[in-house]
Amino acid sequence: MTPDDAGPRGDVAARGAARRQVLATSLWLAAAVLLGGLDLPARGFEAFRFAPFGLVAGLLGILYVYALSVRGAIRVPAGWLGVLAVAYWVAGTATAFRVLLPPPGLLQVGLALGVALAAGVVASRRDAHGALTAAAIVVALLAVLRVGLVPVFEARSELPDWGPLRLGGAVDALRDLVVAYAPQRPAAEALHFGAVACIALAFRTQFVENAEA
Amino acid sequence: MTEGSAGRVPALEWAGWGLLAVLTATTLLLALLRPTGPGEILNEIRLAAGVDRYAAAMAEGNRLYSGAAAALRTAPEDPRQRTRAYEALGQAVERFRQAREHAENWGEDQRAQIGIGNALYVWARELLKDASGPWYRGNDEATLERAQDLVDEALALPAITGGQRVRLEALRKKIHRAITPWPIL
Repeated sequence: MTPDDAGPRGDVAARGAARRQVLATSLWLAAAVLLGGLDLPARGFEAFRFAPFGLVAGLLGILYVYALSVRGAIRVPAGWLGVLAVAYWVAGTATAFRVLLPPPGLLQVGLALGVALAAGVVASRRDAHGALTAAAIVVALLAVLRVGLVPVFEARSELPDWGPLRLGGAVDALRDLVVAYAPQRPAAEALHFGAVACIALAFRTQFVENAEA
Repeated sequence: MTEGSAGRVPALEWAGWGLLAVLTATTLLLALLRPTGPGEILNEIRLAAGVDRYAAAMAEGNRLYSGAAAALRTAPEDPRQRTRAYEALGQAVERFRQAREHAENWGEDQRAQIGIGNALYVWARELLKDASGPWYRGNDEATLERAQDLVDEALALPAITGGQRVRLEALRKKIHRAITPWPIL
């Protein structure tokens, strides 16, 4: 039933359905921001730490929300609902980049530049599914680098002190320049996967047509 | 879930908006207050609500102090951990001071002072370690003076135990010797 078929009554129903769809999407995204912001440090006294996304992840979030909405992969309704939807989409996408980008250092700089350039590839796809596939590939590559490469680099890049030559300290400083890795407890990976899964469910939710509309 | 005939919002949808508000508020509060554990959240709620503020402040101070002491013991060489531990010790001292304000008798006040004394002792001891270099390198005098101030602050507490006072005075002597390695001059 479309608004034209049913007159003002159908119009009200359609607006209600759009509002509920934005609500459901925003709920998934809010859950993603909450889960993705939680860190579980392996060292130190903190049981957990909440670190929201920063400037780099925030800007990448805006860029990707724009690229995906250009291709119709993110639906932005008119009016205040659209503003609300964009705010939650930006926060959710920025949280995904916070979770997926490695800690600060030269590696993060290189990857952030690569991800920003990949937004162009996402925007150049023909339809929403193509754009989503390209974004999903970026996410998978970042996850592999973050979870697979960085801890190995951290574990295999130590040198002992050779007599008066304090090579160990020098290598530690150099390593921090490349990536200032702070290990986390294994449960953190499950939390961060949960955050990315919530974003995937937000995409799915907005493509589910409301039968009652 | 259907829209009512007069365009009324269904109850389930209101619940959804409520849940969204709760999730958003929780995220904002976590980002602003930066808690470090579930115990801290409970203690902060008790402090804000004014329910047994002394016990809540003492519990929070003890949690921060023991966590920071454990971090300094387990990762003594990690500069980031040390910086975080110093921040936690500073917060612990603040919490114990808050507990002193809400103490209702001398015993409670003394327990809070013992907490302040312990936190300041560990803080000053670790600053002394940070500031002391090998014999051929000069000590960091600014850090040593900061450590001395902390020890003086602890020694000024009237109700710390005798054992604490002895440990603090011994530490003060070490810091003083590190600042002035040639007292004869």
